[in-house]
Amino acid sequence: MDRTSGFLSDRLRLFRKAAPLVPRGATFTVRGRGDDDDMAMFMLALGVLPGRKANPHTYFGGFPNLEQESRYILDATCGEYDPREVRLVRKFDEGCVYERFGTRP
Amino acid sequence: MGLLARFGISFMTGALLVSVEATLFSTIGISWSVASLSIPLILLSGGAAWIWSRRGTIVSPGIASSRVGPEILITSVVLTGLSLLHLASAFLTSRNNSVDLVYFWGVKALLFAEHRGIDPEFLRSSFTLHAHPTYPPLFTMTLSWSHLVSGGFDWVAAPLTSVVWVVMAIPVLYGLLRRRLDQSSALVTIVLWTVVISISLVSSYSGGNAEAALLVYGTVAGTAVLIEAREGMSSRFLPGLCLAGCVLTKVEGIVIVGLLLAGTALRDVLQRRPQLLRKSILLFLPSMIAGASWPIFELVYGLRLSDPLRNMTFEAVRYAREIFVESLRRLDAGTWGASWIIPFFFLLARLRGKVIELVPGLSITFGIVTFYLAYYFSHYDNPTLLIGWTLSRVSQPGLSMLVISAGLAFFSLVSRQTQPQTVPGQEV
Repeated sequence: MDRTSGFLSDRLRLFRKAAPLVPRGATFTVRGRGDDDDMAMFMLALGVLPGRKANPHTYFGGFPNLEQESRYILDATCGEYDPREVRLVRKFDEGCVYERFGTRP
Repeated sequence: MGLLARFGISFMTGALLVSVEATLFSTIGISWSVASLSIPLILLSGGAAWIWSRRGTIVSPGIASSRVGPEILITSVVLTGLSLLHLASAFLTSRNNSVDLVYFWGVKALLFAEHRGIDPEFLRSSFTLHAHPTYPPLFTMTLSWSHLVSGGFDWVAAPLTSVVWVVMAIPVLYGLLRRRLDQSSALVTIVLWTVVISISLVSSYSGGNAEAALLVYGTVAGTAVLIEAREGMSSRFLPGLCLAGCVLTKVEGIVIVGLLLAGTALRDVLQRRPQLLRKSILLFLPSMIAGASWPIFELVYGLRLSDPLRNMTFEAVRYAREIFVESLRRLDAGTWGASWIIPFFFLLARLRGKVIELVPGLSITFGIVTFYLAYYFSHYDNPTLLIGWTLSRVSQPGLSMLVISAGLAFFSLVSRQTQPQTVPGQEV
């Protein structure tokens, strides 16, 4: 995938590194640099992180509003979140893994 | 046919049967496992082998063997080897893989294998429209099967399945061509096919998607029909089986079935071949029976039968110029169009007196390009991007049949007719 799509390979590396931090059965969502990136990350995550429930942040340009229901956030931009709601689990070169407090797995 | 050709046919048959079986299992709620999927098929294969060993089968005598010069042999081995090496290395290094593998082909295969069946909830979800829930299951199932057997999904190795399809097709197509061509001519045709298709699969980023499987099923079906003797009762078992493979591999497979069926019927009518209706039914029946397994599954689980991402409005008619220009650009097949142009000239050079015989093959070539042009015209907006994503991939069965048709036209001894014989226990 490195040669087919450089940006997707970064997302793939993020998911592979995040896999041990997101337990099977857990819910998660993905955040990238815009709608297309969000959508691509979601499609990729379904296969790379099986056994978890992936919620899209953006889907074909729509916003399903599932972020509050997602325990983990895999964010390629390492964006800022309210520390009262979300904690940083691990930061990688390719992005960050966050965990939302009070969300069921 | 030789051992390698029979191995190739077994591979294609196996992929088809395991797909139908796995779909039926999911429909009636039987869990997939290596044992549950393989035992019934082993018993079925054993039974079929026992029956075929006891009954006479149709044997086409083919063209008498002639010696192949060392220069042709060496050139063929080198070109075939280099083409397959190019194909395998492009896919193994991810240089020319299809991104659809990681977006949905591989995703569905992995999730279904872990689910131990086709997961209707996944296909029903509002957030899996991108995974084309209505796509038939054959290619997904071949990947799921490899996951079940190996115990894991290998994303790096998965694209190599596209190479396997091409490798399996080579001896089958050669064996079929040998019934109408001498050894050297069949060899030259099959080498040209391998070179053209390998370059095309690489340039169209087809590693790890269903294109190789579809073009192989379509080409074997088309070639098997093209080499049929004019008189006598040729077996429609192989082309019928391959058309069933087309239908279950991609939705476009239905187009190939329609085109080959129409082209074959037209040839048979024009040449006054016997048993037109019976032979047409034999060609069509396997794809109807096997193809029904998928919509039955969809109906049982209340899934949608049509793809909501494919609305047709024909508003793109105003982009006619863009459509033709972009389509021509995307038919370059990785060789600036030479892969289309050269076989076309070979075809034209010896077409006289053979047009009708070649109608089944050429109906796929010209029919599939025409179908996609119509499809682009039916788009709701300027389809330039859509053409860029699709045409170089989806036109490949047409390109493949052009090469085979050109080889048969250029090399075949004019209207050589042989009467098939029935010999007990002989190979087909």
